Amino acid sequence: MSEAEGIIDPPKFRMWLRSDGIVHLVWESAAVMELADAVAATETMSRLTSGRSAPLFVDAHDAGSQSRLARKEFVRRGDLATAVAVLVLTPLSRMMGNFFLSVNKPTTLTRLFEDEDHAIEWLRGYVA
Amino acid sequence: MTDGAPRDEPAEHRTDGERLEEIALTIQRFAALDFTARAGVGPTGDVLDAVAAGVNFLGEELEASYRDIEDKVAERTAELDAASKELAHRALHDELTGLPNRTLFWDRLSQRMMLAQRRHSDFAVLFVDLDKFKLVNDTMGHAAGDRLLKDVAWRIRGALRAGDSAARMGGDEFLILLDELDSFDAAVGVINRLIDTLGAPYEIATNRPTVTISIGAVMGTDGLATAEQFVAAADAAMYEAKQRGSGGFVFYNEIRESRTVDSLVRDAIIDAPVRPAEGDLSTGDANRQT
Repeated sequence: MSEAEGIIDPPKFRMWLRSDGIVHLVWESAAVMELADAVAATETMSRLTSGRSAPLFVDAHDAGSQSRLARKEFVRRGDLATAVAVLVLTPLSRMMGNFFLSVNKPTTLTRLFEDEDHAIEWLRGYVA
Repeated sequence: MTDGAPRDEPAEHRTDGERLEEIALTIQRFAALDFTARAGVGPTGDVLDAVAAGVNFLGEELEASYRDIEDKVAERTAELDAASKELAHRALHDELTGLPNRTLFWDRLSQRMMLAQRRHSDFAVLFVDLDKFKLVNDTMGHAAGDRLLKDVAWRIRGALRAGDSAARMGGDEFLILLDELDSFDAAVGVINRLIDTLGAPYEIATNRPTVTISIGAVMGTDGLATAEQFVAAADAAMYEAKQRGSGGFVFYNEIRESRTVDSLVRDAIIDAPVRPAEGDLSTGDANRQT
C-alpha cells in the first residue's frame, strides 16, 4: 500500500481525500469485493478522515461482483459517510447498486449516478 | 453444462447460451436448496454478468435466510425440549422440596417389587411424618413451614445411601425406599440416622426450632402385593409409632397380626387415621405425646 500524495492504493481499490472534503474511492476493474476488501476500504476511509464523517464518492462503474458479507460491512460502517454517491455504468454495477439499496438498505443516504460530475455536485451538499 | 457444477472455464470465454445455461442451472440448484451454487461473473459487467451476479446475490441471501431459519428452529426446538423436560420433571417431583412425588415413588417402588424375586438383597419402605409440624405453621407462619420442609427434604437426602430414594407424599409426610439392604440392622441404621439428622435444630429466620419424626417401616415383601399395600402398611406402622410416643419408629411386622392388608389400604385411602394432637415444638422434650 502506497500513500504518496494521500492516495492509498491497496490491491483492489484506490482512495484519497479530495481538497473539497469528499473521499474518492475507485474500485479496480473487475475487482471482486470480499469482506476483507470492504474492511480495508472502511478502515482506509476512517484513516483519511481521522474518523470524521465525510461524503463518499464510489466509482464502481466496472467493478466485479461483491459478497454478501462485504455489503453488510459497508452498511455496518455507514457512520463513516455523511452521504454516498455510487457511479454505476455497466449493467452489473447498476444491478449491484440497486441490490445494495433495495436489499441491504444502507442507513446512510446513498444514491446511484451515471455521471461523475452530477455525483460530486450532489455530494458537495454533504461536506461538513 | 448439464450438472450445474461450477465451470472451470472463465465466463468471458463462453457463449451467451452457455452463460445462460449456467445461470439456469444455478437457479435449479437453489430450488433444490443447494445455496452454494454460483454462476460465473465475467469481467465485462454486461447484462448476463448482471443477471449472474444477481442470481448469486439471491443465493447468498437465501442461504443466509435458510441458515437463520435453521438456527431459529434449532433454538426453538431446544427451548421446547427444555420446557418438555421441565414439565416432565414437575409432573414427577414435588415443587416445594424438589423431591420425587408420590407418582414417581409409586413407580420406583413397583419396579423394586417386581425385582424382589430376582434380587438377594432386601428393601424397605419408610413412612416418615414430622411430629407437631402443624405448630410450625401456626406459630411461625406458612413461609417458615415451607422453609422447614425444604430443610427436612435436604437432610433426608443427605442421610440416605446411594440407591435409596425419597419422596414427599404431601404435607409433612415423606416416603423413603431403602434398597440393597443386607439385614434388618442395616435398615435400622438408616432409620436412626434419619431420626438423629432430622432432629437437630433448624435455623429459620431468628428461630431454631426442633422437630422429631415418627417412622413406620416395612421390610421385604412381608405378604404385601402392591405399592398401595406397602405404603398403607408403612403408614399404619408410623401411626403406631406416633401412638407410642413421637420420635420413634415401628416396623410393620410388629403390628401385622392386628391389621389385615385390606384394612390397611382402606384405612389409609378412605379413612385416614386421625393423628394424635401435636404439642410444643420449641424443645425436644416437649415432643413426647400421648
